[in-house]
Amino acid sequence: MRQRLFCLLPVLAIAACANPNPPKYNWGNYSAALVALDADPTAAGDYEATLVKIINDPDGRVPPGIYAEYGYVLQTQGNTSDAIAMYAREKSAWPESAFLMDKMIAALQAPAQPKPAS
Amino acid sequence: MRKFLLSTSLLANLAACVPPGPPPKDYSALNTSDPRSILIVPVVNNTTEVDAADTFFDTLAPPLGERGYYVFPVNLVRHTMDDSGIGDANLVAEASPMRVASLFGADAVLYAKVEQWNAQYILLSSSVTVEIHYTLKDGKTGATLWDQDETVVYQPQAANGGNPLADLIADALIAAITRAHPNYIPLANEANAQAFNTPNQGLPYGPYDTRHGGF
Repeated sequence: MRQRLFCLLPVLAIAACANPNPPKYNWGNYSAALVALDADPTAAGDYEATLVKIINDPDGRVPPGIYAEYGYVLQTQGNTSDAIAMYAREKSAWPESAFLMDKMIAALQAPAQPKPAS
Repeated sequence: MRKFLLSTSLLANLAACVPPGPPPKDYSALNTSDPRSILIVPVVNNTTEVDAADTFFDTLAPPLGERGYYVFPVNLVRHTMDDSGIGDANLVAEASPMRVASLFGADAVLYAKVEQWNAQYILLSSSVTVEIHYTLKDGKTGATLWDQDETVVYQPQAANGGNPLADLIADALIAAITRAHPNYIPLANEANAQAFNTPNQGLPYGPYDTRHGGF
């Protein structure tokens, strides 16, 4: 009996230590790309590529915020229609973003809006 | 003898996993508010390490998203705050949480402050001790829903290839690279994971996790 208990211990130890949570999303290099963008705001190409790669995740595990981040990149490039499409995609994937996404879309649709700061 | 060793090592394992921690936090305010979305605002830096706060700001979204909350787009938020004149971390920290939350439609706002940053570089290794304070506030009432002070000691992975001379050179290289181009992301990830994921101290799971409200 005691031996049997000893056998169970490793199972308990592993259960206590093991991370029971497989990642919900594919974050790719999101954090590292943001840090790199801080270091050099002109090198936005890597950041954009990181976002595109996440959005194209074959399993569709796109994290909250990523469609909107890509929409903002498109907006700074002057690509208004694709930016609006990305904001709409964020909104439909995450209802919590509706208020902000409606605001971003409205600002882009308003005529004679000053060019957004990049 | 082997059995004895086995059992003591297992006990050590268990002890490492379940340290005698502080008493469980009071989650009544957080449970009542039950936020679905968290706005991460720029991190305040109370240290002389200039990049520390920005690195933390850039690493907070993934762990909170994985916890089951909607997290707002980090870069978009930063620029929108700049445009609204509250881009500076200290200004945001002083602004009313209700006002900041209302700009983005956020249920809750996460504030973080880097309080201590102590890097030690000795010839063959380096270590960084960092203390960071996290506070989650309600976007509608401004009430504090959760707060946590976290201290972590981080040491970049040392080499262990079996060849002592090669290891020595590799360790020295890591120390030199760390000094010249410090990569704070693993350190920030470690602090964030400890702060958010520790049962009865961290943040309960959010609405996008089946364990919503629990640990």
